[in-house]
Amino acid sequence: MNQISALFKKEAVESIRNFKLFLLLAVFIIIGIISPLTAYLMPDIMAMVMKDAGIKFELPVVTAVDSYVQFFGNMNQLGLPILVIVTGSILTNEFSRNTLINLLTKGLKRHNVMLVKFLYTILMWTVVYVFGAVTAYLYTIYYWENELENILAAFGLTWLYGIFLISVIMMASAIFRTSFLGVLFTVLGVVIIMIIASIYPMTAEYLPQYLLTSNMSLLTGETGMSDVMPAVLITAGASILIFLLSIVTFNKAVM
Amino acid sequence: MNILKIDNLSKSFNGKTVIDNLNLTVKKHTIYGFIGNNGTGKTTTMKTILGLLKADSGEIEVCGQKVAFGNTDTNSCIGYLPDVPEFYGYMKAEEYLKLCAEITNISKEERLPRIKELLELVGLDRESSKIKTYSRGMKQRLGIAQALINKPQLLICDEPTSALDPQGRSEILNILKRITVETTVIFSTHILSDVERICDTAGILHKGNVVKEINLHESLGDKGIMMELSVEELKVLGDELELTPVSESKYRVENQPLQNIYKVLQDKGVYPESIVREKRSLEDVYMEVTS
Repeated sequence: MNQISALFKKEAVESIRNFKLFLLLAVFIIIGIISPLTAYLMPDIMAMVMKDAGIKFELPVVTAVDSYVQFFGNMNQLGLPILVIVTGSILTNEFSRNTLINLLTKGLKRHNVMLVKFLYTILMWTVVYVFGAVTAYLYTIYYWENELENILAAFGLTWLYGIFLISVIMMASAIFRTSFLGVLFTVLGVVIIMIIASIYPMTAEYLPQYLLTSNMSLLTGETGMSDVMPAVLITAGASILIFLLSIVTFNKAVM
Repeated sequence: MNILKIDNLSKSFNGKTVIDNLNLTVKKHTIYGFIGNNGTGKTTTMKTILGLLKADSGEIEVCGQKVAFGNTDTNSCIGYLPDVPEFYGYMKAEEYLKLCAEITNISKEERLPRIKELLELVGLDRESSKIKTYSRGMKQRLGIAQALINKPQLLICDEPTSALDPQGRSEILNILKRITVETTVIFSTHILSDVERICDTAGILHKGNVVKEINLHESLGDKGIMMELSVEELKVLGDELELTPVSESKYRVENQPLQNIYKVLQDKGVYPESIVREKRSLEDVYMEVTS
């Protein structure tokens, strides 16, 4: 337990002093602010553009759903890639700078290194994501004053997908060790493979990628929780399995 | 009593043998100098002792326990100082040692006194800046402190002085010499004068094996008698003594008793500027063994 708590404290201090935590917090809070704001201002922006172009067009009424469309869109295109870039070096930095050698030769268990890195990255992701999501939620209520069903579940799907990406980061780090680019390309490769596999209806609903495409349909009531449950369970199971494999890989690594 | 025992250790990388049936024992409370050229297997041997590398064959025992690759329990009685120790630059020395103390399960009550003691030992007790601002020598001293945090029975140092200036080297060697009351030290180097200065035993590693062990408390023998002679004196002596030129006016006589040399000099009426008995150095032995 001593080793785990010591490493946890070290990770916390590191993420604060290297500003990683603040950077992620800033990004996710900005996403939380600009998503509802963009949706709210969209009719005015569109009206100005149309007027300048001399086009007559009836603008649809913007609702809270549009705010979340913006939020999840920004999360997929900005939030998650930044999460991968910022946390992708959590292990490769240790390997490339040889900072783990001193600790491993003191009897630090390798699986404790992986466990703490994995859990701390999940904790960091959870904190920054909650801040972003709560910000978006509060602004959405402020602008539209209506709440949507399944909002927690919709937020939860992206959160779970983030955990899946973190497990892939751990695995790629255990394989490539010193190569941050190796980690980035592995995550990118996994996402591309899932996007390609999503083309086939037979597999689409069972892939982690399905979580990112389902949060809006959950909010609008097009799909229910039971529809996304297979993908949720598979993503959770795959994350645990990939993480366990990363421990096995790291245990065999020559330092 | 041995603290380290290596039996028939072998290790290859991509078909190239780096360690070849190496056998080695190190006695408690001694300093063992592990010497050899670059690429002779010093670091590989040390990393295998630490369980960081997997041996192809052979066994290693540290503190009476067998070393296993990966998560080895034997590391709890070992301290390790890499050639270039790396730290978390955003921490201060005290914070880093606290992390090390927690990892090695040192009790809360013992932590702070131990850290203070070590910082004093390595001369970093007044340092309040972050590690990223440290010089190479300061990092090396902090490296020793972290390696000693768990009061290890065996301290393994991989070329601890190779990248330091003379003052930094001297500081590190003095610290290593001081700690042998509690700890056995193995240190690898190719700086032979460092080994001669502080080690009890030196093992010469050549082609993946310890080809010679030398007790540095015993004389390494004489190299010969060195004389400073003028050209005229040299002519007078002729072939009476087998003189080997060493430098412009210096000549060495090997394998001759001193009395014989004096007798020849007296008979010929030659009185050299200086006569010195030359002791064999570790370097002489090293060159003989490895050439």
